[in-house]
Amino acid sequence: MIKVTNLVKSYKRKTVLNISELTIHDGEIFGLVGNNGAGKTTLLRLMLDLISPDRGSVTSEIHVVARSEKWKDYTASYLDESFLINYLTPEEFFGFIAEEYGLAPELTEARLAGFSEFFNGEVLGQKKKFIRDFSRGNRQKIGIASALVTEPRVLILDEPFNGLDPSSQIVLKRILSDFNRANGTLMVISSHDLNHITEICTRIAIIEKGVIIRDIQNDGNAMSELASYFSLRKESM
Amino acid sequence: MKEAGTYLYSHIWKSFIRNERWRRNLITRLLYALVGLNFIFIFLTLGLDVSSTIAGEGREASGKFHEWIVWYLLADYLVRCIIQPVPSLDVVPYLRFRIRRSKLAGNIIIRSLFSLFNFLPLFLILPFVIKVTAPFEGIQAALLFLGGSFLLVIMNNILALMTGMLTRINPLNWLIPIGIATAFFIFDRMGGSVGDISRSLGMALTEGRPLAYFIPAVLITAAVILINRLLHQYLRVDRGSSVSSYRTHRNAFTGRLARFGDTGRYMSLEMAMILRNKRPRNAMFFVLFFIVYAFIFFLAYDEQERYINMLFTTMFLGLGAMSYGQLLFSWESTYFDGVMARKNDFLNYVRAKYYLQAILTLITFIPIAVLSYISGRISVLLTTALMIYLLGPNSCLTMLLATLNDGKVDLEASTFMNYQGVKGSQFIMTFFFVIIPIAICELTSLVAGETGGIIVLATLGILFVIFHKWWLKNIIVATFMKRKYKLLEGYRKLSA
Repeated sequence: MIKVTNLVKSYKRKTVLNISELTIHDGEIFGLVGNNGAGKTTLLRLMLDLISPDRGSVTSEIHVVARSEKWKDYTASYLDESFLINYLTPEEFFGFIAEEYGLAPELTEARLAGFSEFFNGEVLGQKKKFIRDFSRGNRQKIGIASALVTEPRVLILDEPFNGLDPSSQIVLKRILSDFNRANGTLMVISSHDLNHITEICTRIAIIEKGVIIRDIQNDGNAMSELASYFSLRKESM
Repeated sequence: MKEAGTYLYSHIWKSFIRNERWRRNLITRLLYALVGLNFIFIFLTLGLDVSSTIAGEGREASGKFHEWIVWYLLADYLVRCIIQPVPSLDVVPYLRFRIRRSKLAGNIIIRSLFSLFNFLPLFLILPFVIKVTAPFEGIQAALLFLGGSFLLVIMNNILALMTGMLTRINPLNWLIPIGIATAFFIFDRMGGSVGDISRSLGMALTEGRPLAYFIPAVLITAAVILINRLLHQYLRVDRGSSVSSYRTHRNAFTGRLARFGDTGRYMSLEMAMILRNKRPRNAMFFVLFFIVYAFIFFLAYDEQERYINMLFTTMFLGLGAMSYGQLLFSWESTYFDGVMARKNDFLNYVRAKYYLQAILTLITFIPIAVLSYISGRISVLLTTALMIYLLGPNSCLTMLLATLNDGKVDLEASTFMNYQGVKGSQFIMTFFFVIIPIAICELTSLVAGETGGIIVLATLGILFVIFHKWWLKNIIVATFMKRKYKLLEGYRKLSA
């Protein structure tokens, strides 16, 4: 469970995030949608203790993320390319992360084999290629797989579908859903793609100017609610 | 509507004026200004001294100055080839616009003109023209010489830019500057006199002979045409990207040090970072540079002042490790969000960095100790004590300073003379660190003799080495954790 309490973040006296309360339960796939600059990435960074809040806290299970590092044992994330060590080969990078999380090489290999369709033969086995030499889409795949390979209880992804080709987007949706079903993983996923979000998320929040203005249980009608919100907003502008 | 190309020139100015370095705090900016003024003062004094000295020789003075012109141009060209950046990557973002490549070539040439090398000769030429040429040859000759010198400086700039491009396309093209330098030296050794040619060139410029201006102008034009052609052929977005020529099999990151536990694994990662990226790789060349300089210092000069010998020995021993150490965390700034979001053993992570820093100092110690023994200028015992001190308190200070550095370092960015991530205040502090062990040793020596100084230095070093885990945990990691948000914020900035 992730619990956000009275969380406020400002830059140069401008409040960019202000969430009084938000609880994400185990097993939920929590989607975060909003326009550019709405505060999605700021919220994700606060959840990962990469920026400090001006006020309030994020608690993961029983750990306040800014005070303890225990939550890192069961959390994995991929926000952007600053999560990749781009002078390593993908194998070296996966190996490095696996060792950080105490995974045996055989287990890592077996888990990576599960991504063969997602990698489409373009990521593993390219022995002379560093991550920085891969295309943007393949770098995105490496980042997402590096988070999933640890089989975390909490998974945080920022715009995971960005840069992926249509086939890979479909495969990724299936991987995330299956993974959630099999492990009961709590997932927080931000995206601009309403179709993807409504297809995989069990709950969706709309964030605008740092405030969560709607919190929707996805019972099949989320798409129409989201579409009406964003089209109304466009018309009112 | 303006054509997009028109903005190119205003962008050069904007990129300069909006650079992050100008946004530093007031003290850092003041330090920059002081360092800048200090350099101007030093070079101006040097130029005035040279001109005043040779002005005493009356009409012979011009010849004395002129005979060095060609040597200066040759040295300037060689140094530029090695360290002057080729700003071709700066125009890559404009490739997608409706701008002719010839315009981009022009832009690259103009960007290259903002090089320190184009301003340095002014400190020599201006005093010479004012103190020698104008009084002895007249105002017109002075102006002609000034104009001619300016043309030669521009010629060197363009030729070095062209050579820089050629060497980046094919490393074999390094044979061009090497060949030119060799030709000059052979010519001089085989009975020819570069000094005479140089004197004739100086005279020809002063007298305003057209050929002296025509030849540099032709060389500039030819180089500009070649640069244009090279850009047409080679300036592509994919060439601007970081496709690596440094292959993994040459130094595979296999975690061979993993048997030493987490620290070993982190050391492997750090070594891969150094070996596989331009910027840290070149920083390591500084270690070699200091060793070569140490050979010259110990074997070619006869310096007897004890504290000067100590100062240089400490510099040779420590500056390599310190140039790595002061960017300890900044090296990883491009992927530090990932490091901090993942599970890691931060103490071992910092320990790995300390051990690598110590290994660097130990590697430099071997040749320096041999040199100090051969030259007899500083005792091997004192050199050893200095080395131990560097492993101890100095490593601690350098690492502590690194926790204050929120400058971003682009690992694949341009190479030499790149001070990205290095702040003025830190640069000065680093030199300050070199002074501390000397002060400790000298002050103790006053009370307890030289042996006493050595013992105190070594004892301090040994204590810090023995208790390294304690200070790494309670000083370095603790300070880092307190400042981590500020550091992470700094690392996320697009430019530093």
